Amino acid sequence: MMAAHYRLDNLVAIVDRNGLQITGATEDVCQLAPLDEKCEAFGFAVQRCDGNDLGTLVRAFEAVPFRPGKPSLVLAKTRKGRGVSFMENVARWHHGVPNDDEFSRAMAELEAAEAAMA
Amino acid sequence: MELAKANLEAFAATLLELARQDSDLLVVTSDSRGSANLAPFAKAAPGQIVEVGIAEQNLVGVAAGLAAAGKNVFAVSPACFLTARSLEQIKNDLCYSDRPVTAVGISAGVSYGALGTTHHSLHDYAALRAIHNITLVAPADNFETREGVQCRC
Repeated sequence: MMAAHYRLDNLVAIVDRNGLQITGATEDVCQLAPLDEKCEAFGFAVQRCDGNDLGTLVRAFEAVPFRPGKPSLVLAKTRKGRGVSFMENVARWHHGVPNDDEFSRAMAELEAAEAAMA
Repeated sequence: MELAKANLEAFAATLLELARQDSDLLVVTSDSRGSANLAPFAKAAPGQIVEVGIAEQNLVGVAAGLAAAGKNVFAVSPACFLTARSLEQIKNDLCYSDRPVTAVGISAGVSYGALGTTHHSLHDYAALRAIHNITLVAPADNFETREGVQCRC
């Protein structure tokens, strides 16, 4: 409310909308949607984007302010645990501690992905 | 300094003196400029007061942000709300993050009397004493109030 009141259009809020919390899906535990409309009602100019895609994020930040005179909010849809197949989008990994085998498998996947990027 | 001067008068006068010497000094209020006797400050130094509305958690968060940007910040709010509603922000945004902010809780204890238990502040010292990296000052008179404000973060 304050950011909108003072027309802080150099302010950017980022919501990591991964859709999970420790109990399960955010929308099952206590619904947040429609988050974009709620943020707009509080005076933010909102852009949705794929938060796991760096190029899309950069384009969003380059477009700030989304509307002159309004604070900007990037609603970044993400997959929690992205990059580790058995952790991705699984609520228990909100605070899970990997055992030795899980740790090795996770690191192998991440290192393979890193090598593919180089 | 007059013997009979009230704490709030000494607080507002000292704060204005400091503000005139320091353009980086900012006062953040949560609809509390009247109760903190800061209306004359707002008139005399309108560029050095930031109003956040009735939003004590945001008051402390904004104060921490301004301090991180190099401002010398006073966050002023009734003690009952400042030390309960925004206790987490005091713990995390100020103390844990080591942000030099002077938080001023006005009307402590049972100063608000007839406004009842919602406005009483009997927990403040107990709550804040349990937090690391904070110095607590409870000025007993206008002399100590002046000294306390001058010893700001």
